[in-house]
Amino acid sequence: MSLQFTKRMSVSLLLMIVMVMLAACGAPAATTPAAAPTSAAAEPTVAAEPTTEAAATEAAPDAAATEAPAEPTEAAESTAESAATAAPAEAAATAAPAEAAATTAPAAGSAADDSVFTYALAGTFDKLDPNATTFSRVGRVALHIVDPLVWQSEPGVYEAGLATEWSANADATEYTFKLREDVTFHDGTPFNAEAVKFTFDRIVDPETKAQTAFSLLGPYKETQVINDYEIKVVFNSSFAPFYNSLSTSYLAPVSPTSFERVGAADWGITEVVGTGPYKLESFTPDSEIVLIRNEDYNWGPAFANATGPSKLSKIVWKIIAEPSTRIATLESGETNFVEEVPEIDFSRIQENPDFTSISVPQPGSGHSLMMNQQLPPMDDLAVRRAIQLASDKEGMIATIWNGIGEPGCGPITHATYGFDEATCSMYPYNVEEANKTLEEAGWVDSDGDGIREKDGTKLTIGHYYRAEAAVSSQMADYMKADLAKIGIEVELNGLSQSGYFDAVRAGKHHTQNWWDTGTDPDVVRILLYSKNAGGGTNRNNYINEEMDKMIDDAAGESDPAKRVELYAAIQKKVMDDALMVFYNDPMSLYAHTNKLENPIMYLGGNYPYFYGASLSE
Amino acid sequence: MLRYIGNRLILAIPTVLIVTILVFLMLQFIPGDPAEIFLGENRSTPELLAKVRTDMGLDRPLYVQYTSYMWNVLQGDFGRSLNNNRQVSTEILNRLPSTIQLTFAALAIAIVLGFSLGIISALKHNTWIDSLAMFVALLGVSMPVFWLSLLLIFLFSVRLNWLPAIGQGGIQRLIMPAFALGMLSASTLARLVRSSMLDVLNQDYIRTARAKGLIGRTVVIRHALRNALIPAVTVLGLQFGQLLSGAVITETIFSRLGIGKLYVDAILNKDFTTVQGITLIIAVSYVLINLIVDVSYAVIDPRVSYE
Repeated sequence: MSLQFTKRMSVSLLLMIVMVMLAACGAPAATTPAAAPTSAAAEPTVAAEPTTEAAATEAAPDAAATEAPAEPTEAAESTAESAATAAPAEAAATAAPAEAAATTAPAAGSAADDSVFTYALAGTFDKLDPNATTFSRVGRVALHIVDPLVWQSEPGVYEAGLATEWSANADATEYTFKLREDVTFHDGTPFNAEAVKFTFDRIVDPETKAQTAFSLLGPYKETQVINDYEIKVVFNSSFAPFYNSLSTSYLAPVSPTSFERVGAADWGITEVVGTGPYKLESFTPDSEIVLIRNEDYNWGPAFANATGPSKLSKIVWKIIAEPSTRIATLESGETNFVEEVPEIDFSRIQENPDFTSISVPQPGSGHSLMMNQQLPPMDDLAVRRAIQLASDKEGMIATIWNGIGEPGCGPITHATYGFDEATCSMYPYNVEEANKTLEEAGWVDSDGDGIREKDGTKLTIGHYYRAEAAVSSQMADYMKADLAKIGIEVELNGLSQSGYFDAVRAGKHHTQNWWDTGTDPDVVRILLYSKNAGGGTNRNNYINEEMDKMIDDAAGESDPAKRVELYAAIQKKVMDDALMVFYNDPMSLYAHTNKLENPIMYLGGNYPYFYGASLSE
Repeated sequence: MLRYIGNRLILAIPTVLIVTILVFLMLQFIPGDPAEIFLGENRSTPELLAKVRTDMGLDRPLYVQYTSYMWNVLQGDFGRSLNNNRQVSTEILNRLPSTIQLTFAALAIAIVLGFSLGIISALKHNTWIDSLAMFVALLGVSMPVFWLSLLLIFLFSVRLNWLPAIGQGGIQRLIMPAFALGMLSASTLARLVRSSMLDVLNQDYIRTARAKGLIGRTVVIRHALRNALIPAVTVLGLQFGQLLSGAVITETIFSRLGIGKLYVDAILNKDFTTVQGITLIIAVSYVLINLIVDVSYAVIDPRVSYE
């Protein structure tokens, strides 16, 4: 019996070992899935109705929010750079400023080396389709696969991209472009007027369900093909921000031939064909993207100080959602460039002589608090002002962001074009003043429970946030403590992503957080425009005709000086009415190996660009 | 025995079906509309929303959604993700090998480490070796997987530069995640094996075996361990589930492409097709593992018979 047992034991042990080995062998797998396009089509039931509403793209589908820095507002990972005059490449590079600017040494010609460059992306995304995505990460990667019609080398300064000449009519409703005639897509088909028309038309097609790109096209009407290399883009109303829109990768032309061959369902998964310095070699969703150099490339932007094909022969983008791991891969040499460096690790990286750390003030809207004006007591100006005064921004930044960032002043961050200092002094941290404001408005604590009342109603507000997002939870806790000091009770409702969206879209919230990137002051539209209220991105549910007009006027103004004035007035009104609390104007934090030369921080630092960059030995 | 296995396999079918129905119903209770999640904010007009809902098939009654999904699955079509339109079968097949590899490697580590620690500390009962082994086991139980993972990365990738921190493929990329994942199970197992070994070693038949003059090793392996094995194997079957859920964390930290992370993301996005696809896979493998455990009772203990 003993013998029999031993036999059986060894058989089962052997089986187990075989299983383990089998599993080990079958492991790596995973390349680009080759899926047959099915008919996800069906007739478009909705006419393309581009609204003038700007970039309101909150990244609902951003599942990566679980690990990523993840505000409930998550808009930042998705948002359109709404309009004209992007902030520049002038990054506040803490270690090597020169590298962040677009002005470094030329690195003669294209001494194409064979260096593989690895970039650590902070989270996943839906599809590698710049014309349809909601994720700015896709825009970041895609910038290397496609070329925009125009480049923006400095705020409001445009350089030739795929377009060589451009002009607009006086009221900015018609734009004419002459296109380069020597450009081919990666699939060998020629780049021409039809390709541009195809790209724009696809973006507004409801079937595409485009997000960022759709917003960037504004009141798009149509593209007219004048001849093979000349187009006219027509808008339903004035659209001054169009050049800024064009300078992103979201509106960049893609190959119609490739799209039609692959089909809508798999485009952006198995294939992406543009004209850029890199071709897509493989894309493993949620894992990595491999780009290889386009050897025919000869139409790069002038500010990159390079000609011909890119120097880095291969760029591997690895998705590493866990922040600690991401930074560890830089330190271990597995990656060369890391985005979203955790604040807590930033100073350590700064001190390390092997790395260059870059901190770029983010343009857009900072980490902030939206207050639902339709739900009492948030309709009470005194309550909103008291909350402003009681918010300890410095303390919050020190605690939550490890001191990185700057106390917010108004609806656009310090780094955004049109920012006005005037609002910074309006609400200094002052608990006494906050208490006094509430007393005067009739909010008193008569029963001594520490919570104020007025007409029998307790001053209790419901704050909604995404519980899985660490930053959101921390902000919620901090706010609760701040407001307890002035007799406001905060009920914390931490929910999952979908539960959160359900609640705030229905307007159940008194308060919620917000954060958004975007290079144009038109981002105020996302926060405050009436049409974005009632379930949209204006979760302040702020409906005010005067504000709507101010926003429209500012967006339609083509004179830069006047435009700045108009935005100053908007910022003042936002703070006079105490519509939102702006806690922190954050920094984009990057780090890379010192061996990397000449990376460009394109469009306000949101888009690191590696055409023209190289790795030294 | 074969008949027993056959019966169990037939019984597995309703089990798996019930699991998928339950998961399907649970998804309905999670707040949020997949169509709205998919669309985001920007273009969420009622018309477009209605169109997306139709495209996704969400406008049909629940039972139709479920049955048509299962019908397609029976024909081998797992559908496309509601959230990103990728083929669910491709997504799962791309990730499954990596998760299986990780889970089994962790299981192997748990078995080897758990049994050796357990047996050694039982044999050296009340010595410093016993204390040390149990201290290690205590550490393993107390350390959260994510923390142990980060420590491993810090030591072996950043400081020593011996092992790559991320990705899959090759034993090098497997060691750290498997160890991090297997440590908890190993520790649980070690404590269990130790106590049941101690139990068995005090039995009369062990004294008899020794009295017969059998050498130590034979007594331990053939007489003691074999009897101590039953509770350990039971726990091992249950550990499998724990390993699968632990894989979510390890896969995230070590940036491995795996089922776990896909599952969590799909649930958060209410991506019904992806969730169901993975649920099916997990349910089936769980049923199989537990069948293997039950069958192994008969192998280990001749008193158990399924004839």
